[in-house]
Amino acid sequence: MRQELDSDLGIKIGLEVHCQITSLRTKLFCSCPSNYRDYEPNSVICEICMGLPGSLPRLNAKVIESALKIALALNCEIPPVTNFFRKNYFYPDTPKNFQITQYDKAGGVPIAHNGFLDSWQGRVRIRRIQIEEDPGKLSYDGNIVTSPYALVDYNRAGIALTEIVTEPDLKNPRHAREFLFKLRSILEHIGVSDGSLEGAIRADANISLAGGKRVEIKNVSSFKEVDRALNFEITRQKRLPGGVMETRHWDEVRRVTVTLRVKEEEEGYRYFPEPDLSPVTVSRDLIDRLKAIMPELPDQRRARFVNEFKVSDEVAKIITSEKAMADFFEEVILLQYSPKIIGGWLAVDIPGYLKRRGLDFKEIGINPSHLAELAKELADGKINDNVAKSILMKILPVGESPRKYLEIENEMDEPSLREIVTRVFARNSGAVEEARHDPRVIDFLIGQGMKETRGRADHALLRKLISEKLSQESRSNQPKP
Amino acid sequence: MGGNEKLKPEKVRRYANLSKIELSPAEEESLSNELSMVLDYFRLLGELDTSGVDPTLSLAVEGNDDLREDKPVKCDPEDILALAPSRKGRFVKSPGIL
Amino acid sequence: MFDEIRNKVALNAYITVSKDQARVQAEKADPKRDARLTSVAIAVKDNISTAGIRTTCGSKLLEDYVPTYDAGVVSQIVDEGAIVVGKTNMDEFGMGSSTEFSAFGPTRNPYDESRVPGGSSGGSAAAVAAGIADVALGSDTGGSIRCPASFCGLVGLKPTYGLVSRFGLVAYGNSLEQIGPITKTVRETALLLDCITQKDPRDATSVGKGKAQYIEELDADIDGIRIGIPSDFFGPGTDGRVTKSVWKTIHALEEEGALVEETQVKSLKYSLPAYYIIAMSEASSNLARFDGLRYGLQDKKGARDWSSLFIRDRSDGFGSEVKRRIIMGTFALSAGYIDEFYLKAQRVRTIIRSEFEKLFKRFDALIGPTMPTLPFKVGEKTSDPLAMYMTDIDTVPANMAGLPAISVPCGSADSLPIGLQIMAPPFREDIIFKIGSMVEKISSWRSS
Repeated sequence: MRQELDSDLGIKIGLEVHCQITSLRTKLFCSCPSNYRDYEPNSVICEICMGLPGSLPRLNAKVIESALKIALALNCEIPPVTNFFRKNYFYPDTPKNFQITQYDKAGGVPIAHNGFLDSWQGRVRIRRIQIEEDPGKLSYDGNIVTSPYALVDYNRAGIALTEIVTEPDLKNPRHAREFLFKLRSILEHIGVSDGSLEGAIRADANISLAGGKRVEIKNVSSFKEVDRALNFEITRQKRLPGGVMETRHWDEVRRVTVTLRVKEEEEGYRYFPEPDLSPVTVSRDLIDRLKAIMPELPDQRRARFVNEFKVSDEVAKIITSEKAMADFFEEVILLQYSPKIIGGWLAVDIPGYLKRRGLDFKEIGINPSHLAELAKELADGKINDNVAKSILMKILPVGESPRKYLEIENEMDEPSLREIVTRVFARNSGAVEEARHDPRVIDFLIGQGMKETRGRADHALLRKLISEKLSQESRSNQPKP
Repeated sequence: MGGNEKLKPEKVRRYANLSKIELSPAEEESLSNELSMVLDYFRLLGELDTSGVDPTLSLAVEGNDDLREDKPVKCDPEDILALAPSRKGRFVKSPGIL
Repeated sequence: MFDEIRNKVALNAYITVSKDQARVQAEKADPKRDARLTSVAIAVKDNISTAGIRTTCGSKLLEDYVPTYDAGVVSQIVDEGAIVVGKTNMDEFGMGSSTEFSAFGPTRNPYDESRVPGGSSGGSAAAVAAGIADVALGSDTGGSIRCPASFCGLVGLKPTYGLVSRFGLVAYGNSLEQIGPITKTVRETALLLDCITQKDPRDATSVGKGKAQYIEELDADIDGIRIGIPSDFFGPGTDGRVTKSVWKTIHALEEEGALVEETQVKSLKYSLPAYYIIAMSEASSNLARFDGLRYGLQDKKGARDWSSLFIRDRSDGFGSEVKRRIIMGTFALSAGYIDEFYLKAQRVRTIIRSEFEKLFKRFDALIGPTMPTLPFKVGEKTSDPLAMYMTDIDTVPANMAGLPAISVPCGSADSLPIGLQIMAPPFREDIIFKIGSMVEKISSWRSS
């Protein structure tokens, strides 16, 4: 059977990406510390984020700048005034039973709209960016279906989020994944959202196949899950052409989507303007100031790596897909200017290793000087490529300097090998005698040498040194005429 | 809702549900009558031509809000947590989700 | 004071008398040096949060709710040396004009206990009128300070939106409401207002006032002041005795040099329906948080799921008027109806605001009756929601436009007080005090 191409299916995927603004020190509307992951449940709460009667929201001054940086990085239009709306729905994790967010109808103006992000599979339009508050977190005894109760922790309630909404321009699950990784790298480069923190960047997806209805998928916890959930939906929708417009819940354990009927109020969020917050003016000056201090973004950095360091575009793309990796790369080449060697390791060998171990780049043990040391040896021709890579694999898990492995390698140079040959001769005087008459015994001596060097000696060099020594000793042992 | 359509008991029930309020059939019936009257009164606004008029979104004085400095303040969570009628450990306990 | 409160328990002015807290407060009091309210016994409406003193909003759902923090205004009056003697009865969450819709029973009018004291701040007004509080704080979403002030022969002011902090005021219609004083005299109202107008960093809409002291505006000359009298404020539902008393006072003001001219507020008749749509819409959202999970009444009989729990707590905890307004507000905001109701009402609001803006180019102030009628009988309007809503016809425009408005006693009929309303441009409470103190001087009413 012919493998169907994604383009034949007319797949359209849109994403709603929720990014916590982790660079903020306080929540969106109150002065509770934002590092809620460091606390016991319900410890970073106050009358505002718990929605106690009479409390009022006070907008974090920094959040506007953070959201504007994202807007600029995603090439958005920025209106001169932005305002806040209420989205009304009941849920135990939502302390006020409404969420303060932004809206693009009924007089609502989100912080930014109408932008784009270029990906390898084409341009992805950004419909809008809005600022909103995170809800609390529910946990269960067992799972969501069977648990007789839910435990609510409001530490996360009120954490500042931006929601980035794309047009349905993504062509396949891989494209969605590529977009998410690129977006994450951008957010890290502009320093507003640390994607390595658990739950800091989350995505809901919507997907439709040609002729089918749009289905929303919620509860997707990681980028890997986005890929899986979308692939599941494509298979499901192919089997059920037509279908219904609905919201489905991604069950990470069973790896299926199920119809969601949790928030029956979906039909009417009853958006209206939040009377407790004034509209916020976004001045041209502020935008200009932020543009002036805009850091280098992944695409610019990638181009620079290609131009300045002469690495391939593919390598540069992989390295800049994660800010930590790109930073690491630049640190290493400051110590040892071997961009091609280091680039190759960072783009191919190290990601392969991390993937096998299920690790993030940030969990890498070694530091830039370790890699620089290793690269220097290779660049100086003291070790070959294979040896360098095998040492790399040894130092990655423990995060140590390659020195001790290099010392072993250094034993194998000619002077060290000569010493080894001397030791082999001393220990095997009988065999040495025999070798003088029977060249086949030379192979035995070479074998002893290889054993001594744990197989690392250059075979040809070892043979040469042993033969030389044998002939020298024969000459010196000849009775003088 | 065109004309002077009545807010029927089924509709009252629907908006009560959305408001997480349960009504007895008798309450639905009487609210249906009362709210229909109120609604008729609200329709008085239809007389006034508001085309081209922007809705009031806020009475807040523009530029008054100097926004809150992003500086953490130590939390005092215990009294707030103690207000919750049902708890389990440090969690607020809610009945199940599905 | 606490003995007198006990003697007048039949009025049902207080939900909670904070005798112990008041003693502690008096002992620990560390008022600022130039405190202006030293030892003043103040009654606080029960929708204004008081740390350690239960704050019920007149609702069963909050009958045991004790806030962890003080409202902005409470901190300010305590700093000025005032003693909070108790929390006063009110229509549940402020939804009413008679203080009959309280889970703690109706409050009675001290002038005639068979009549209502007005609402929703009826407990605050009854307490001051009966002498069981020196002064009181109320809140006014659509007339809830001015109506009971009028019905109880007192002065009551709804300040300009943003003048007084709303932090700690349990929201009903948060784009409409303000906290304000209810007192026996205009001077006391000016003094109390002076004490609660610091800009509060916890309320983003709080503007606060500059250095001016309202109390210095009293007894000023009103010669040449331009006063507009909108005929629409004397609509067909207005009691003839009210019309007569208000006009008599207007003529007396003219004699004092005021330039009086009749005018119109064309949008007035649309103001009331638009007001109710907005107030109910905001209420449906503001009151959503009361689900019994984080605080308040919770049915512990083992609800099947969270939704059933929320439904039980809310159905059991809210009174019928609150349910009515929440359901109506949910309807007005729902997809399919929001254009016809909520957004239409906010457009009408824009028209009302601009009409007042134009009027205040011609006039320094507008005057009319506060309430169209004299205090009505307990039970007279409880079964007819629309009749009850209609009593707010003259007070809601100030809330719609965010304007300051005061009710000052101007006379009486059959021993029942009549109140006159003065409205001024935003943040011009000074004009209100100037004219208000003159009204007080020339009127025949003297509070007992």
